[in-house]
Amino acid sequence: MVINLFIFNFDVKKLFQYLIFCMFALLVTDRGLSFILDYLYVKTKTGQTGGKINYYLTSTKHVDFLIMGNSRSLYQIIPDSLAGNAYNLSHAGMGPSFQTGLLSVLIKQAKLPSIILLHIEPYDFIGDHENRDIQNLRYYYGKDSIVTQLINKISTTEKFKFTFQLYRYNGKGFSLLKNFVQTSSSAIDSNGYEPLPPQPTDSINTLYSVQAHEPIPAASLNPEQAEILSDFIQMCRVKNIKLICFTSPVYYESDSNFTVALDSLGAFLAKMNVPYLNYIKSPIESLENHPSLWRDANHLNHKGAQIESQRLKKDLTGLLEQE
Amino acid sequence: MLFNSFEFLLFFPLVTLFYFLIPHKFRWIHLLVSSCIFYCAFIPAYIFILFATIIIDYIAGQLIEKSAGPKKKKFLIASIVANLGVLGFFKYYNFFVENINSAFGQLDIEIHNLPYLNIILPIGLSFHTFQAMSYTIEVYRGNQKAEKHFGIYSLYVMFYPQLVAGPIERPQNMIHQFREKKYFKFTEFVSGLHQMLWGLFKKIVVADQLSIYVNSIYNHWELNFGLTLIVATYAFAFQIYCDFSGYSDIAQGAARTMGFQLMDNFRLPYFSKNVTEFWRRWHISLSSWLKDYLYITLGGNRGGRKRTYFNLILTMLLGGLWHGASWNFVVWGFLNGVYLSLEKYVRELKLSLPSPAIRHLKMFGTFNLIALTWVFFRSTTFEQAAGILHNIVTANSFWNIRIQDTGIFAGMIFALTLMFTSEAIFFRKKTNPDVFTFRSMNRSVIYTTSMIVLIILFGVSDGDQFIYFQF
Repeated sequence: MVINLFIFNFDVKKLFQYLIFCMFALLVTDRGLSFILDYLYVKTKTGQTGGKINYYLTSTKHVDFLIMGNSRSLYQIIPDSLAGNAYNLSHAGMGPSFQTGLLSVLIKQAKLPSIILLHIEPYDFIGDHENRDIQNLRYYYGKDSIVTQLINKISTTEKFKFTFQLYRYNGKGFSLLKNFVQTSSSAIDSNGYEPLPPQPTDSINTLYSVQAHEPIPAASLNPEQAEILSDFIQMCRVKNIKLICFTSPVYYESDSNFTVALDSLGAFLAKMNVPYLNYIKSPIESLENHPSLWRDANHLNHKGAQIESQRLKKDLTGLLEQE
Repeated sequence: MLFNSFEFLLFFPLVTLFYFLIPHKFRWIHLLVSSCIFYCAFIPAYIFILFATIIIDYIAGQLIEKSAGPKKKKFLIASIVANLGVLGFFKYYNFFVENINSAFGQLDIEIHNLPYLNIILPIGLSFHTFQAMSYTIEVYRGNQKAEKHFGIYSLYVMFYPQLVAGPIERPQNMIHQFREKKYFKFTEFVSGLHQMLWGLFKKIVVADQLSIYVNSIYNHWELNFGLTLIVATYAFAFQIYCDFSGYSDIAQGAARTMGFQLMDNFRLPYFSKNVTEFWRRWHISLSSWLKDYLYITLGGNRGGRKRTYFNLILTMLLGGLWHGASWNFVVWGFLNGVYLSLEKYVRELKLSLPSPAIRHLKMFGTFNLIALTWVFFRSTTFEQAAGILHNIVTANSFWNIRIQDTGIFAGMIFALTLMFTSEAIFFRKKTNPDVFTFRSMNRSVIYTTSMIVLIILFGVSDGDQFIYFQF
């Protein structure tokens, strides 16, 4: 009786009306705006919100070396310094989950290099990680099974958010617009490398950030992260891509946990038969004690990047000649 | 349970729907059980602490009402000691130990260091402790009858929309509302929903975006100078406003969907022309609590000029300590107390300033005074706050401003402009329920759709919890 009274209340009828109108308006707005944003996304050929991936997929010829990794490879590895045809597809702040998802996208689009140089960040393999970096490939949700799986792994509620197509552009609206305008206003011709020009404050910033550096609390490898890397390695094997991993140098001394972690990572890659160039364990001498070659304790400026790239080229030549 | 979580997206409609589906006599049970579920989503065991304080204050209320004279006062004091004892233990024990150990260390006195306790502060403890205390004080003062119904009294403390971060309600406003029979009213329900969406927009789109920028600067403050730190401090001023007032909006809105009216907690505080006005518009439920129960109890302005200044500074200093057990919160409160005293002194001089002409200048000046105090509020230690203030005035690299990510910065400016323009236009002369009540269904649908689209498109999907939860 009470329930009936509530349901047939005039105000409740109005509520149903309101909810139906809202759902309809949301559906139309969601689909309409997504259509526009999809158009902008596809046309964008620069920037970290997908433009760089589009550029690589549509505007480059076959590459011999493809550099993948985070800011420490994006700002530090100059593709033109390496032998042959190379492209730097690194994205700042992105870890193994993003790299695995991205490789899956490249495989699906059949845009594969002969060799992948994967920058490995030891911190990505120690301690707990939510792997939210994969969210930067949200455009490919539902289009690429690996990306979809990795996004769904973040949390049980993640898949519900994609009820709205607009969610694929969550937090990217302004960057996308900026990169679209940039693509439209100038011809993009890039090798993917983004230099950090040397600045007078580089030395002081580097020394400051060494002070601010904190030792890592754990030393053991996170098995889930190792599994994601293992998937990356398997995908390369299946597609006959030669994979070489490397880690860029840092300006601070390794603490005991960090050294143990580096060794475990090295052992894991050796077990997987993946060559690994570790510039933390085998430092590049000309970068040591020269803070002016660094932007901060983790990143080299352009001058330092030239030195690291030259060393990488030398080591790669040696490595490839051995085989 | 966070208001900006997926769990709440399920919890809220279910609780509201069942509230109207069941008969009035069972509704208090439904709300109480729902509030327990809401609270248990954080750390379930802590609900027993809440139950204990509820039982103490319920009994204290009865005893205070039945007694007279010194006995009545004794019961009130016992209840206040019990409440502040729990708050003191969980919130201030480690702070106390740290300072005692440090003081003995400085004096080279060898003692066994007092042990630290590995305890987590029960969520919202400061809020519901103050709310419970206002009940016993009001019963003592004779402004409120002691509540006989234990369930209704528990609900007064535990009502889920305002349980963990306020508004800190008064018994006179809330208790009778739980007894009233509420009917589903479309206008009231949708108005509440609109306010919740506005609160979510402020939290997820504005505050969480600002926090990305603020954290990137404040967490590396040693590397930042001048204008960068000023912009980051301004950004934090807006972040904390949107974070906390956003929470209050969601709380008020959620309560209104069921027909409950919670008090307004913010009234465009950054449009204040002086600090006194700011505190009448910022966290109103706390500032009025401090005024009614602390400042007036200390003697207010009845003991002469010097005593008034002392009372003001002490009230604000304790208000600072209420926010957190750290010296930077104490400095934050002290600074606000000094501002209020200075303003009172200037007012007494009766200097006539051409106020209409310099109205905007006064607003800007007040905003900057408040922004200065936020440096202490945002910093994790007093040393950090001092370092930031030093780096702000350091001439070296003053004009070099760090934007960090241009996309995030643009989003931040867009969201902030949209929020402030809307509030400046629509909120200035209206109360919250009026602002969110639209005359036509079309407007309502357009507003709802726009807010949801803005949240999906610009919201930070893995954003932080509300800042005031830590208090």
